[in-house]
Formats: sequence, C-alpha cells, structure tokens
Amino acid sequence: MKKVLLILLAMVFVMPLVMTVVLSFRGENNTITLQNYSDLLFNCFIFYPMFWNSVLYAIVITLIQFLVIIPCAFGFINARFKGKNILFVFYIILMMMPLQVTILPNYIGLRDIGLINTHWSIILPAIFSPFGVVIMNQYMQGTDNSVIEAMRLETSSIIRIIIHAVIPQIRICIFATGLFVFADCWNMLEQPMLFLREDSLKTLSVFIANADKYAGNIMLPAAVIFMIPVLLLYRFFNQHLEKGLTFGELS
Amino acid sequence: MKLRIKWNVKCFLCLVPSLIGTLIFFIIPYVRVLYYSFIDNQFRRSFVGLDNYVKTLSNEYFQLALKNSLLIIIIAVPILIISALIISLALSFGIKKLRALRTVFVLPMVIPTASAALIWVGFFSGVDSAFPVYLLFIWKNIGICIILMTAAFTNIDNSIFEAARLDGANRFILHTKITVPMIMPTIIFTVLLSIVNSFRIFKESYLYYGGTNYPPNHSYTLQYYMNNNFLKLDYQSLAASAVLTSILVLVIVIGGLIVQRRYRQ
Amino acid sequence: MKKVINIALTVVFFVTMFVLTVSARTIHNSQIPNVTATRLTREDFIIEFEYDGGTFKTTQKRLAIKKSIYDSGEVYAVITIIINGEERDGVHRVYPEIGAENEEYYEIISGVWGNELVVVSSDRELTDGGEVCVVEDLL
Repeated sequence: MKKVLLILLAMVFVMPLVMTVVLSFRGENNTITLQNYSDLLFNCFIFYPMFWNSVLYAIVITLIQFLVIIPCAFGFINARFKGKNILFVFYIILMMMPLQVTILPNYIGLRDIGLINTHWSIILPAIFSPFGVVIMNQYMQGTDNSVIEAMRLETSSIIRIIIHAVIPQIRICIFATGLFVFADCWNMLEQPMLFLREDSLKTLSVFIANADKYAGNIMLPAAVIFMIPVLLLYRFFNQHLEKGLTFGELS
Repeated sequence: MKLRIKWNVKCFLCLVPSLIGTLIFFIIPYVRVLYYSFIDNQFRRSFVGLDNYVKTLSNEYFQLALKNSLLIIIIAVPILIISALIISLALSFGIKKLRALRTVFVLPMVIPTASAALIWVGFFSGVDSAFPVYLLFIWKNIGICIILMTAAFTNIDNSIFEAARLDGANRFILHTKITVPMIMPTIIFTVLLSIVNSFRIFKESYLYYGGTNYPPNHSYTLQYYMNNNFLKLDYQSLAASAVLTSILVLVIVIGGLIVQRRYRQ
Repeated sequence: MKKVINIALTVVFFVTMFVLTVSARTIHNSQIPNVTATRLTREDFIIEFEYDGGTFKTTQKRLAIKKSIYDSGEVYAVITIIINGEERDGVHRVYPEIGAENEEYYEIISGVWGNELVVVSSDRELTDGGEVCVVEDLL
C-alpha cells in the first residue's frame, strides 16, 4: 500500500519534466511536430551565443572556483588561529543571504571598476561565492590526517601536499561540489539580467525568461535543451551525492 | 616548533585568495550599501540618519512584500519539511528497493528553474493565488531535504531500534517518539536551509509570472521590491530594504543555529 | 559501462550543438527563397515634350527598370525586416508605373524609389513580406 502511494507520488513529481518534453513537440491542433525545434534552431540565431555563454560561464566558474575553495577548505581544517570558527560562521551567514542583498553591492562595485557588460562581471563574483567554501569544508572534514603528515615529511611545498595527499581522498566530494556549483551557475538568472546589456553576452536562462519576444513557439524546446547538460552531469554523479552530506555536524 | 608555525602560516595563506575575493566582492560592497542607506542622495551625500529606514518601513509596498515573504516561510516551509520527513521515513524504513525512487525526488533540484516554470504556468493557468509558486518551491526543494534527512537516518544506531522493538513499540510510535527526535539537529538545519531558500524564491516567481516586474499582489515579495528599486535606480530605498532584509535573515539564521546547538546537547 | 554511455551522450550532445551553431544559418538560408537583385539605373530615354506649337523630343536620363523584370509580371523590392531581433532581408511587392521605353528598359514614373534593390530572379515563389536570402547583388 505504502509502496503504491510512493510510486504514485514519484510519478507526480516527474510529471512536470515529462510534460515539458512532450509539450515541446506539440504543434497546431495537438499534432506532433518538429516545427517548434526548427523555429528555434534555424530561425532564432541569438539562441546559440546564449547557449554557449551558459556553458562557458558554468564551466569557467566551476573550475576556477575549485582553485579558490580547495586551498580555502584545506586552510580552514589545518590552520589554527583565533577566530577560525567565527570566520566560518561568517561564511555560512554570507551563504544564506538572499541574492538580492548581495547583488546591489556587486553591481555598484563592478560598475565602478568598469566591468559591467563584460564576461567578468558574471564570473568574478560567482567565483568567490561562499556556498562552495562551506560545502567543501564539510567534505574535507573527513580527510585522513596521517596521509597529510606523511606528505609533510617529504616536501614543504604546500601545493604539492594538497595535490598529492588531499585531492585523491576527496575526489568524490569534488565531483559532487562541482555538480552543485555547475547547476547553480547554469541556473543563474538575476546576474546576467542585471549586469549584462548586450544580448550576445547573456545566458540561456535569460533567453527562456524573455522567450515571448521571439517568433514561434520556442519556449518549450529551449527549456528542454536547457535541461539536457545538467541532466547529463547529474547522471555522472548520481551515486556520489549522499556521501559526506551530513550537515548536522556543523562546526 | 618553528616548523609548526611555518606550517600554520602556510595553511592560513591558503585561505587568502578566498578571503580577498570575499572582501572585494561581498564585504566592501556591503559596507557601501550600508553607507548608501544612511545618505539621501548620490550627489549630495548628506547624512540623514534613519530617514531612509523609516521611509522604507512605512512604504506600503514594502509592508506587502514583507508580509508575503513571511507568509511563504510560515506556510510553505512547514509543508515542505513535513512532506520531506514523511517521504524520507518511507524511503529509509520502508521496502529497500524503493531507494531508487530517491533519484526522482532529487531531480527537481537539478532541473533548471526556467524549464520547470513553463510547465507550471501551463498547468496552473487561471489559478489566482500564491499557491502555485509555493508548490513550485516545495517541488524544487524537497530533494535536498530528503537527502539530508535520509543521510541523517543512516547515522542512527540500529541498536536503539532493536531496543524499542523489544519493548513492543509499533511503527508509528517508533518513528514519532524515537527516530524524529534523534535527528532533530538535521531537521532544524533543513528548516533553516528551507527558510533561506524561500528567500531565493524570486527566480521561480519571476519566471512563473512571465518575467513581469509587478506580479499579482499575493506574490509580491521582498525580492520584487528590491528588484524594482534597482531598476528605478532608487539606491536609497534599495539599500535600506537590503539591509533590513539581511538583518531579518541574520536573525533567523543565528536563531536557528542557537536552537540547533541546544538540541545537540 | 554506464560511464561510457554517459560520456558518449555528452559528446554527442555537444557535438550536435556545435554543428548546429555553425551550420544553422546556412540551413535556414536554404529554406527561404534565394534571390538575385540589382539596383535600378538611370538610362537614356527619348522623351516627348509638348509646347505651344508642337512637340519636341529630347533624350533624358530617367529611372529605368529592365524590361525582363517588369514583363515577368510581379516586381519585388528588397527591404529589411526584423525577425527575432535581427535585421534580415525580405521582399515586398511594388507596382511601378511605366512610361517611355527604349530597347532594354522601361521608364519608371512612380511606384519605386530610385535607390531600391529589385529582384531579378528567384529560385522559388516569392510572397509579399516574406524573408529571402540575397545571393547576388548585380550592380
């Protein structure tokens, strides 16, 4: 009995997705047609720069963010200094601030540096998002110190220690964090809308939000294509999601 | 000893890139926003004290926005938590094969908001209340709640269940009296996370109403208020409301963390 | 095995998107009429003038359209239309009024502006207000 209910619930859950895909093929008078996709792919050329922009931003932000948050998490675990806990709580508070609160400061700052309407206006603030720091920190708490100690006997270059001793242990965590960060960036809507003026720099999420500006029924096909990269990435790391997500043990 | 200090310093240096970035892009701008909220004009820069705050708090749109945002927290979050709890319990303690279903519940988390919102609009067109947006919020966030809760369930010691079962407790009592209280810290964290996410609901709401800046009255939340001020270039009101909102979030988060620490004892 | 499928799917998706990005415009252009167009020129016509006492003829340069274009029945001019935020070429039907004629040309009295591009030939039927791709600009 419970089983049936649960399966029913699961089906209700997936329904929006299935409907999105099915309805994207709908033409006049409820026929199945590829016309919508054709309208999108062959008539609406601004779609392509926006698609590749989304890809570019997501990949670049995810990769560079690793360069920032892995050393940062490592430092949080291994360095001892006063106020370490307060600093971490501070990061958590920053992470929980609604986007609107940080977007205005970001806009003003970027405008004064002159970076509005460039790729960097999206990439730079996103790289330093506290979200990645907090998650990486949680994962790194499970690292084995003995390996680090062993590495310290061999070399004093901290970069090599991180690369050889720490990263192999937390490979799964890196993938999981990468998934979250990528999905977060892929979904970005407010920043491209507010920081970018030229259409050729904007992302696919903006395209879908403004889809009624364009001829034809292209909203749903665009949404379907928008879903695919994230789903692909999700397939890669499905099994690794649960490990290490025990947020109950904060600080 | 010297080596220890050197090691410490090196570790600290690792933090530096992140700290610098956070400083430049979050802290300093936030201080500027604070500054903006106390001046009256971009050009004259005269200190006006709490005037902006008074003006914002008495603005009827701000009050409407505040009310709507709080409504979401009071209504949608409990529904979310309870549903997640029930589903997690069913998944963890029900038939083992149902584990695969967890993927289905996590999927909405990964699906881009833009894609999901379109179908939601089609499905709920003609419904004039804030409810569809609540549903979208619950649908999207239930995944992370289920993950956190099921992960916490696996941390509970099995012996406790054995002891309870020997005492003759049936399923219902078992779960309500033992399981749930045992993962209270996680539940509190999930509540906190959901409240924070409810502030992030802007994207869902914006896309649901087709990208308009003025949704129906029942859905006008704080983010819309701030966004509109941003577009109107009314930096003063925007700054004041941003500071107020951040104070609200701060209070909620710190309150939540304190409650969680209490429960951990 | 699962990993291989995933990688294959990802590669297929991105390669498809890349191919589409590069070739979309070409494919689109093959779906719409491809036309050749030319500008109107000024040609010599023998014009008759009437005055008190008779007529006199003189040769003047007037706006002219090739006889072959006019005689084909429908004359289309190339305009810029905006589709999906982009400027593209389209056609609209024009009705030129003709006057004098010489060997190859008709004189245009009205109906067409002097600096418009007119369609010389098209690979398929044109519709008023439709989009076209200007393949060659015969000047």
